[in-house]
Amino acid sequence: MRPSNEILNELEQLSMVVAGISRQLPYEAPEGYFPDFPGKMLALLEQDALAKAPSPDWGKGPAMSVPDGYFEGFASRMMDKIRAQAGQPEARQEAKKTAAAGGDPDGEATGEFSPLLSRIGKNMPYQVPEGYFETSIPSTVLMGLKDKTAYEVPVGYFETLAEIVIARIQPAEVVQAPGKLISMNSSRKTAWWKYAAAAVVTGLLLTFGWQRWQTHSKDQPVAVVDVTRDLTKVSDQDIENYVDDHTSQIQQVQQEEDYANSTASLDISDTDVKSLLGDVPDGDLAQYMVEHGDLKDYPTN
Amino acid sequence: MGVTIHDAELLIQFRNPDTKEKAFTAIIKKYQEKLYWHVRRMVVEHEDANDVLQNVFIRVWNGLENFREDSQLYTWLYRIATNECLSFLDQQKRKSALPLDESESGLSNKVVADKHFDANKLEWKLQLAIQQLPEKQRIVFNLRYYDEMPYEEMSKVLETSEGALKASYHHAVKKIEDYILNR
Repeated sequence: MRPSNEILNELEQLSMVVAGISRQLPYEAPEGYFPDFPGKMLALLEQDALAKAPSPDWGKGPAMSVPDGYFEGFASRMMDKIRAQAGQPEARQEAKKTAAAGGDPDGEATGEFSPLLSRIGKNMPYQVPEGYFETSIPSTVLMGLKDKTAYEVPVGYFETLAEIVIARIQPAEVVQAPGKLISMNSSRKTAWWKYAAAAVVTGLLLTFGWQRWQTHSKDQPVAVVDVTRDLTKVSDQDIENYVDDHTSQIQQVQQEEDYANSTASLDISDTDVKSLLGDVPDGDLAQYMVEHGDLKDYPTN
Repeated sequence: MGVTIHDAELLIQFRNPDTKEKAFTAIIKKYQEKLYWHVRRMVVEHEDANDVLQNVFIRVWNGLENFREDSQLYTWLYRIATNECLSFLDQQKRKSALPLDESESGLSNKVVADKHFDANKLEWKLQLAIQQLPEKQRIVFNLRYYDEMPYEEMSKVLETSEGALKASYHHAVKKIEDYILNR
């Protein structure tokens, strides 16, 4: 039994394993089950209908019957029984008399079923302590049980109960907190407006920022300091004084730079030295060499 | 199904007291096998399937007078059969000592107890795999795989959206594949 193309294609997309299995059902129905089924079914429906249908004699006769002569003398028998149960000795005597006269079915019945029982008195052989029924039994029993419990709780249960309950409630509250319902349609509308608003705000910020930057750059040009030109205005004496005052600091900075850029310092060529010290008079250099004789003698000019 | 007109004729005959039984016999003959196998795949044993099928047709007999033709007879019959199956399985669960979540193993036991059962045959393994599925997925798989029921029709039978049925079928196939490959 091959499935239709639609089913097969769908199944192959989902699972080639399942698609490869024969669709033949391994179950079998008993032989002749299907040809006989409609007939059996109709017979069953007829039975069902018959069971539900009312009988033709329905309502014509009494549904229940009573023994013959049941209602004759029923009232007097009933009254005798009531008196006997109320414990009236006169009534009991009267009932016995009536029974002896053949008019009391209660007495007759007892005698018929068991003559021995009918001769035994009905007095109870058991006795109860005096005043027992005057005391309220339920209240006595309950008073005794009032402070007793049949159940037990583990030691220290109530001390820790509050903590346990709170610990269980807190996570439960977190879990059971109703989630925010967001309508799919409304969220799409909101998102569109949000995106539009964000785009407008971003555009405004960019425009103002750009204008401000442009204005700044035109009105306030970056100050450029020409150190070489400014230094020519300072006298040599002032420079010497400044160097004398800050010798220790300059040396420290120089040392730090030497340590940090020791490799770079080795790359200074003679040409660099010439260009750097070209403007310094020879006399100054000679004096400097005298003071710092241990330094390397660089050719300057 | 392409038999809607014929069903309409049968329904007219059913409403006529002179042809009522004849029409009903025709309806039984027409649908008994489809419904029987639908029920049998769910309850596994023939005796149970027979009981359920009889209940189905008694319900159909009692309800067909009032059947509203805004749905197809075929869909209506499948719905009654499915509901009867679920009621029957529910009763079985309550009667059995097995916990509710282990009731599928009861059905697997019935499969294994079949006198023709052969563990080496893939058809039987497929039946065991189907019995592992949750009820809803089992119904969806059976209706789609064996009865080739379109999702549109199935949504009327099970009163579930087509999308949910497709998802159920997808899950069912994956679970069956897993069962066949790993057990």
